[in-house]
Amino acid sequence: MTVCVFASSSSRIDNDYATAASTLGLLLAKAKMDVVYGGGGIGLMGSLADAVLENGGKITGVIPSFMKDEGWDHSHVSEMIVTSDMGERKKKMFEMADAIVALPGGVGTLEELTEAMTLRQLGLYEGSIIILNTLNFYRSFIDFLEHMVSGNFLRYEHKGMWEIADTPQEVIELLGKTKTWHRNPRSIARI
Amino acid sequence: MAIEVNDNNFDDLVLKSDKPVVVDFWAEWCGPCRMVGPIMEEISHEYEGRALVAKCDVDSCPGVSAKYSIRNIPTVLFFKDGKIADKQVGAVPKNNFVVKLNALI
Repeated sequence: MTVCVFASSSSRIDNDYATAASTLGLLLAKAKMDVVYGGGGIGLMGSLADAVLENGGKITGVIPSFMKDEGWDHSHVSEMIVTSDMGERKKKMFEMADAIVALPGGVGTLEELTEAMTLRQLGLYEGSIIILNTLNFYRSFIDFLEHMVSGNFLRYEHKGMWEIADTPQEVIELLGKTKTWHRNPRSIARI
Repeated sequence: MAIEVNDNNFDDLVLKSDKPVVVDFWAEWCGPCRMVGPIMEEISHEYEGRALVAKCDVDSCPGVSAKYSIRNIPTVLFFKDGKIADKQVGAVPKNNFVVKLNALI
């Protein structure tokens, strides 16, 4: 099974976030789950990749060529797929993913996470979407999702599309099963 | 080999079986289900003649899946004499399934 991880590339964030990313990498390697991610060499992406590799796991990076040209890529992941642009990168990661995990991140991570939600809402992606809420990072976003539901921008049922984990260990437990959140997502996609 | 069951034959093959039946609820798109599938195949061979192993694709068995409130997959239900005797949700090591099945034989 392949787990797609979206995460920050910032190296200026609190060290607790990096520790959680490393722990997740270790646990994914131990669970023999393959990982696909954005191919970055620093920040939470780098911490995750380093931990997967140090513990004998397999991790594939997917990076646009311009980022590679900038030298933002990880130097020794198991495999690096170079794409022509950002859109192709994301499409490739979704294609490979049996499950998606979002770690704390900026607008790039948020955009990847919300596209995953959109695809699941439309029945175009059927795996799990797990938010690793380290240090309650996603508190405001989770509140915003609730705000969407209360204002009928999302249905109550759509809250079943994502799961929230407080620790990397909880992520691994959630990855062990897939919620069958709706049998025909498209039938409730229009609100 | 694990047999395929569906809404039409579930009662005959599972509920009326004279042997314990292990039913693996799964789907093609479910990553963790792919970790349990090979374990079920192994158990089906190892327990041949003593227990039956069945696979139920939740996408093609909406009736059975709803009847047994399958909300997470993989879910493995253990049936004996037409009733649920045990349950295991999620991808876990083979021994977890073996212990539960042995208790029914």
